[in-house]
Amino acid sequence: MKCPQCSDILLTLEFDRIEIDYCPGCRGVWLDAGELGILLERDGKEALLLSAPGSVRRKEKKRACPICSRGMEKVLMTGSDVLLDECPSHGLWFDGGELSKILEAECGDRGEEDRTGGLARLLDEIFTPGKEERT
Amino acid sequence: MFWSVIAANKRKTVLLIVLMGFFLISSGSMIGMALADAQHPYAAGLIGAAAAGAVWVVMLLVSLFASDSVLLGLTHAREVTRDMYPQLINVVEEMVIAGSLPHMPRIFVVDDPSPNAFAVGKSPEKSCICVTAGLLALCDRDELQGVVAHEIGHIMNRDVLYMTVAATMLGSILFISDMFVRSFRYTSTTRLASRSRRAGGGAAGPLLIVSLLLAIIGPILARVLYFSISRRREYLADATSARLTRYPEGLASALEKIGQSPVMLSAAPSAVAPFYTVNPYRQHISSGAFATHPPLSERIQILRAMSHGAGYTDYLKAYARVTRRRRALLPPADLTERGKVDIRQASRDGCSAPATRAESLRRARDIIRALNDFAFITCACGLRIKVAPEYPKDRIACPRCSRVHSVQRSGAAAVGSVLSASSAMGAPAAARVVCPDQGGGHPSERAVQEARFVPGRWQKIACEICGHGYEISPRFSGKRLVCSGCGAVIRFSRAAGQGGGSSDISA
Amino acid sequence: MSAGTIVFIFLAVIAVAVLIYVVGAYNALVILRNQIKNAWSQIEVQLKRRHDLIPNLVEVAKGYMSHERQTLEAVTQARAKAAGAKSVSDISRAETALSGAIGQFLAVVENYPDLKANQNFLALQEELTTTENRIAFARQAYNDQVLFLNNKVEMFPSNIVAGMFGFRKGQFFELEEQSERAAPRVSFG
Ligand SMILES: [Zn+2]
Ligand SMILES: [Zn+2]
Ligand SMILES: [Zn+2]
Ligand SMILES: [Zn+2]
Ligand SMILES: [Zn+2]
Repeated sequence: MKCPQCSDILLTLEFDRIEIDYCPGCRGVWLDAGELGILLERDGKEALLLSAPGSVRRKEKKRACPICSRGMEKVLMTGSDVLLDECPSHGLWFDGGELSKILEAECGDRGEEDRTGGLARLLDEIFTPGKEERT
Repeated sequence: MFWSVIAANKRKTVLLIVLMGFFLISSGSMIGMALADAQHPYAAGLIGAAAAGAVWVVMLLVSLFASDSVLLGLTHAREVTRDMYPQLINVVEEMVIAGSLPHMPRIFVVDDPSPNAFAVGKSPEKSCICVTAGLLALCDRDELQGVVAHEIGHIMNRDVLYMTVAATMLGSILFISDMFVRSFRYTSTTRLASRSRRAGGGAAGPLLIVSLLLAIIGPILARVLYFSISRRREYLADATSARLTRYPEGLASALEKIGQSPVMLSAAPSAVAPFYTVNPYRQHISSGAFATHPPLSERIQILRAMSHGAGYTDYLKAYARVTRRRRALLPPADLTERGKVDIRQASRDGCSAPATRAESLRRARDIIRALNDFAFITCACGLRIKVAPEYPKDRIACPRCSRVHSVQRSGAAAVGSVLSASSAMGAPAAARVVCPDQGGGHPSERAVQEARFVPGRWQKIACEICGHGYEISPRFSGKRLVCSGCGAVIRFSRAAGQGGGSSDISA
Repeated sequence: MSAGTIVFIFLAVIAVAVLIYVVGAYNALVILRNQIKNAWSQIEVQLKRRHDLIPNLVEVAKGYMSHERQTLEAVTQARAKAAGAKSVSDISRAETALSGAIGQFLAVVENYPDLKANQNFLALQEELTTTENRIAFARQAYNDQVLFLNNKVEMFPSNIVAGMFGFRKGQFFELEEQSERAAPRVSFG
């Protein structure tokens, strides 16, 4: 698979029984629809809270899905400022910048309900070693 | 071996070839006449028949001489070697010994996460067994053995000969009717567009209807014929599997697992469907004349009813008891069984099968990756990195802890080692060690973790840092353990022994 | 034709029939005996394979289980005894003992998670498992043939032919699968 942003070859990372694809060039992350499902199931959630497709108008360049290479929709993670690319049948793409935004937002105040369905925690665990183990 | 079944399969193959030739040529001429101008319907019919005949000859040659490569190509199967998957090769070799086959079949793995298997080849000397990556990921050793033995059973009974020819023939019929439907649509639209209906168009009308009917009924007929014959063979292959493995429960539990698996075959062309152990389209065509396979639940029930022995007679008895069918599966004269075949005990398995379906899916993908020359790196921090063969650099910095690893590309990785690493990583999260006195602790390199250990009881713990799971036996006497996943030290604080009685291991 | 000629022809026909039967039965017995020899050599190949595997297994295990000298020694000794056995019944007994020792050893291995995670050990264990399966399947084929031969040697009229040419009953190769019983029963909730 190639990175939708910089066309580098993606690496697959496995951590805590979840797989993500990671671009070593731009630090972006691709999360497969199936893996997302596993993650949400584990957290007891139905779906990730995303804005309806087509509702977001941003100037950001349209990217191609790394699996089917069709153009992906821009979606917002509700209640936050994080803009993601979504292929409805294959998965989600996080830019390198978006990722750190999620991590900051979610790790800043943990009292709030986890809107990202365990996603932030997982990404946090993957990219920051030595963090406190949460049980 | 069932000699009458073998003979019947050979006979049926010839009959099928003749019937299909007749059908193809007649429908070819019909189609030719339907599409032609009204002036020369018979010349066009002749041309159509000739074209269909040519297709038939080509299909026949392909099905007899190149069918295995075609089918393997259709399903994107890759041949595996002993280095890549010793357990799979071993299991097949065991079944070759058990069935006294003259040759070792070639073994392929299909890049597909749904669990299934099939065999192709026109004789036992030239046969191939294919299993999907999903099957390897889902099944333990005994289950894999059961499925492989089922396929060996198809090879021994010459089912694959008939199925190979039938599949190619069916494929050709579907191809031709598809061509016809397409060209019919094309001509009708052009005629409508030009609005130039000549008077002669009326004569082509009845022909059109007849050939249209043929084109619709033909494939259905072909399927009914083909699927209705192929049900008994599944029972017989199951019987062979039970007899060869001497362990009916292996196949039974494999079938059960396959039945519960939600993943459907993605890459199976419809012509290949009847080859599989379990019909890949079972959710669409559930039962009745269209089903290539008997219901899974019934097959499982029969296998589980074999409590007295694993021989053919035992299977036939179980079959009669479960299905309550009056007709025996086989005439008694066909049974050449000499002694009693005892059921063996379950084999011990070094690498246990994964628990959740998410996990087996991931294992399946790992097998596919290993077959496709991915490199696997397990970083000391617990992250596993899977590197595609087209990755350009030789070195990779771990995105988690920035350790630098060199990427080793040694051809296809040994799938077994990939699997055992992944199953070790997949320790259940619930078993995470939490230290009451340290409140979590800060994992770092060569960290020391504390774990509670009660002697006299089996216990599951997982390394806090990399998640590597361990099963501690009641007789474990050490005070510490060095995690083989990340090198961290796990120290055991001994709780008071609570009289290890219940699960004592001494023999 | 005189009565004597008729009797002579009659006797000649019977003699020829008997001769044909004897030749046929003899050939069948020879074929069977050769098949048994073949099946036995298959078993021997696998037994040899098992004997070759065990020192490697013990070698790998030694590094991890220094406190289990007794178990390891038991395996080594049982192997030496099995390798020296000659007759079918001796081999049966020695191999059964070896299976028992291996079972004990694998039960103890459960206490050493590090060893269980060792790639070399896992590979050797798979080889051991497949070798034991092959022995079992080859044994099934061998015993089937022996049963067939024994039936012929015992039953009338083939027993006469067998007696004439000195065919004796074959010996079954028994291997109690007691190793399984010795293994600990582990169950996790
Ligand atoms: Zn990139
Ligand atoms: Zn897509
Ligand atoms: Zn089948
Ligand atoms: Zn790392
Ligand atoms: Zn560890």
